[in-house]
Amino acid sequence: MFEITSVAKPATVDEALTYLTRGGATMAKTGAAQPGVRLLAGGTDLLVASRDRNLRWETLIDLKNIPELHGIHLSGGTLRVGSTTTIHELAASPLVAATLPPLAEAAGMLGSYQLRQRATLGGNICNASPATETACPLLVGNARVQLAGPTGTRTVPLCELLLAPGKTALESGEILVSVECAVPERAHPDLRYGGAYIKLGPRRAMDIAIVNVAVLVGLDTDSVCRDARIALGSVGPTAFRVPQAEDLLIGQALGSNAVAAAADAARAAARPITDIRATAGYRLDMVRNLVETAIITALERVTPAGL
Amino acid sequence: MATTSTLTAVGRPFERLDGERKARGQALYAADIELPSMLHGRLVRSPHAHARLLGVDPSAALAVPGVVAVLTAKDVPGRNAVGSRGVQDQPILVTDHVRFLGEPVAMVVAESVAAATQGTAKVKVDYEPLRGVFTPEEALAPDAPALFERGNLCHQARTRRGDFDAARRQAALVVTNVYRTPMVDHAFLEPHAAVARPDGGDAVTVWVTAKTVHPMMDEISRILGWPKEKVRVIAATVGGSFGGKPEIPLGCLVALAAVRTGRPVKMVYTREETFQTSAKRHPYVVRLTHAMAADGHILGLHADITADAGAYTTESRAVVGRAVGHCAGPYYIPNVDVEGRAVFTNNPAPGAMRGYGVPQVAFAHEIQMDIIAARLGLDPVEVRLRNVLKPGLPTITGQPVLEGVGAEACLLRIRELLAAEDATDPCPPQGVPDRNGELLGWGVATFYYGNGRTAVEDVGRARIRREADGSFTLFVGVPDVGQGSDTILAQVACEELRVPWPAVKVISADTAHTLETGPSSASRVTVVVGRAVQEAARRMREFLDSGGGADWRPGDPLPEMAAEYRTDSTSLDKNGQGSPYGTYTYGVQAVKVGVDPRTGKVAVRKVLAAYDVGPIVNPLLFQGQVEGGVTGGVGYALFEGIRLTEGRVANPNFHTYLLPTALDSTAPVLAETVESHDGAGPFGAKGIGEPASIPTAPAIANAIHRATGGRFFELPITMEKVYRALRR
Repeated sequence: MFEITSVAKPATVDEALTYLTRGGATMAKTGAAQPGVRLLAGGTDLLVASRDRNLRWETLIDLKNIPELHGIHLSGGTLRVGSTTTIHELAASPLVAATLPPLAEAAGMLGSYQLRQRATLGGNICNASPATETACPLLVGNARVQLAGPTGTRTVPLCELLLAPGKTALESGEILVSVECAVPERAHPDLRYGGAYIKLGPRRAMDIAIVNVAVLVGLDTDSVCRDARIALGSVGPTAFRVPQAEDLLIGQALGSNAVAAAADAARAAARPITDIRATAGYRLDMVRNLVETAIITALERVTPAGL
Repeated sequence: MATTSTLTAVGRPFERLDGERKARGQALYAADIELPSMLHGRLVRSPHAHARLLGVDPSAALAVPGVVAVLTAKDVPGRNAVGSRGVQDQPILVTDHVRFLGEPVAMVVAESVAAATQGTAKVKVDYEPLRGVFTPEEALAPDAPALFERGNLCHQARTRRGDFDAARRQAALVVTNVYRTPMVDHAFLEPHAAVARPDGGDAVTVWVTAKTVHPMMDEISRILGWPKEKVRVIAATVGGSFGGKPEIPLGCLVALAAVRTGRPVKMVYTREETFQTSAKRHPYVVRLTHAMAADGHILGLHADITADAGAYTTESRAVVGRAVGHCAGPYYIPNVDVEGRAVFTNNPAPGAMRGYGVPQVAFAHEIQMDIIAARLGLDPVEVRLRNVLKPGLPTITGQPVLEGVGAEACLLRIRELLAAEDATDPCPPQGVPDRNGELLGWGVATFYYGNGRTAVEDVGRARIRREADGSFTLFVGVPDVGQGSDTILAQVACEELRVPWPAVKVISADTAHTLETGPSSASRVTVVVGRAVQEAARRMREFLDSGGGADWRPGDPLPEMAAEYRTDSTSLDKNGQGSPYGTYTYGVQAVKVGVDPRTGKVAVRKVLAAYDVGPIVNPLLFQGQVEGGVTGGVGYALFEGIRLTEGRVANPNFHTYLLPTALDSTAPVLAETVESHDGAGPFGAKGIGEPASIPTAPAIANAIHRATGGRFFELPITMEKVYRALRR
């Protein structure tokens, strides 16, 4: 039976950091040791795992009452999403749909409607599932994460944060504050972009992915590809970018040969395992087929020239 | 369609009687019941699939604050053995021999669920692990460890007719294939739960989630060593059954705990407990050999069926018995040699699940029919039409098909509907994608299903009372498990009483008030219980029409009528010959699938169905049954399967055990009925519960073949399997 002794509800990041590093007022009273302390966002992973594994927590630090951790903003060509922003808010945001469409698409496929009301972007990232819905679109968005810790804040690329299943580069005492993506069209005003996200699962909802793929392509006025970003999920210890495949697109007018070559390169870069959901061999083939489909879809979605 | 146009209640799309209560959250499920000073039970379960139980020491658990009692097999005053259908071989708490993983060894009863859970961790249990057997092949090996003294063969059944060997010699074509179907879970929304309340020192009331209450009363009375009159069993609102429930040990355990502690006791299984320990659909291996004449007539059938019975008998005898009688499908076959068996293993014991052994064999015989059609160059519907049972012909058990049966009409109707589809929305040739890049194909499957319990006289009983205000109360022993039986039976009563809807209130499944009338299963309630309701209502109407009750005064006993209906079925001889059911439902489903050739992912696009099911009592509930049945069939075909590792369920939750979601169930389901005049139920009705689901999986398998060219002999047909077939 899992147990939670207390739940702290800090109102600021600094207050949350105090709870996390020194125990805070409530914890001082109970004399709690730090190992029993954990950050709580939506709880859709943490509380289920706690129940499954009979975990005991002295203090859960609920981050949902901290205004600065919440919300979706666009400023200076950068999309900034606070870590406790819910997956539903991402899926429903016109701002996200306009600036990084694969992220909105992916958010709409995570879990169920009910789950999306509760689950947060920060929680989804820090849970570090290789099959996570949000990592691939954020990776193609060149996402950087802002971390607050006892000695100040630092910003790291998302690809450096994700280390292994369940493991991130978050140091003890650190909190994920926000995720930032430079809006592709603002960073490269000379290019027109199109994006796609594909998740393969046996069902049409409520699935954990067998393979996820996100693609973003930027074309110049001659329809030559000048920017290509491809990320894969569920086929390695973390979601990851495949520069080997991207390089085969850049500088090309994307015909079927170039697209097929990139898909083959993505397949070669994937390192899937066989598990209860699918064999490694099937996953490899799916990487190839779905990268191809995702690139074609992304190209179809590139804003027409002159608009 | 048989006409119900002169009727005023039967045939009408009335809303179900319990609908509003459920939608408003007012329905009381067993887990919702709260009683004063109630205790909570949790079970200590064996972590071994096969073991000798050496000892149970509850002392540390009793020291946990809030723990009131720890029960072991020694606390069972009566006979510690329960079971279904006359075979009691399962203890409610293990005495010395653990036969499956999760089998209850002790029950901790405490002031709270938390205390009871803590207590279970403190009960010290000594086991001597034994080598287990986890497949029928392993279990039947000469050196296999035996689950029971009599060995691991649970049951064997045969059906023989004519001379199969001679038929095989004459055959122009012989087709043999082996089909495998997985263990699947009912996956009802409501996990098992029960509450017991001691009534004085010598009686007990038990609320269960169950498809039947009277057998539960029998089992509890035997466990307690009490007369049946001292045990009252009531079905709370049931959150889904699909053939499952009750969990007999659960009802017995809460009753025992309530009696021992003198306080009410509730126990609710977790989803994981339900998956690991309760009944499932039997996994089957089915080997079929069809001997065919060149003109497409079936000359003979040989079948060999093996079911994994798990650790206890439960319903395996009857499940295999039904499969043996249904494995030919609704076809006339003069020469038949069928053998079926159920084998004990150290897996959780399967039991009754929607279709009761028939979905497994239907998957086999309907793919056989498509393969035969292809080999003979016949249309799949045509080969079925050449063999379908017609009035006067015998089934493989020798039961003559009655006049008025519409099995052939179902096939003819489906052929018309498919021709219309082909004219308006044709599928591209096999393997050629349509404009959306999808491979498309239709598949058909037909079936028949005996209504009621197999080869026994199935008995329905009902009672009707006229209340002081002139309204009526109908008492029936079967619970409404969600299929709407209370509504159906009330419609039958209203019709026969000739009173306006809904002037009949229904009290169902309370052993203190209702007569034993068998379970809410076997597609029997509308037919068998419905006939008893109709007869009781007719007697009441005649009584009232002849002036009965006219001189009733307050204080007089209220007028009451009871009736009983017995089916026209017989037992089977040693060759499996006889008339095991009073009536059969026949039908055909045609399913259109779309397959994504890049991934192998299958989507069901459209379902057409034609049923010989007699007149429809309630069109809304009929449509609900067919849509629900099709959804269950989609899960069976594409997603579901319990994964067992040495008796442990590896996917005991809904994120690993995949069911179709609402988005996987968006295909239109267009169900029709054909004219039919042989129904034994009220106004000629037949059962639809299981027939709704049986043909869906083989129809999907045949449709995937039509779309892709891939043949599948094992369920579920995952997208990875389809993809691999496309690559070949």
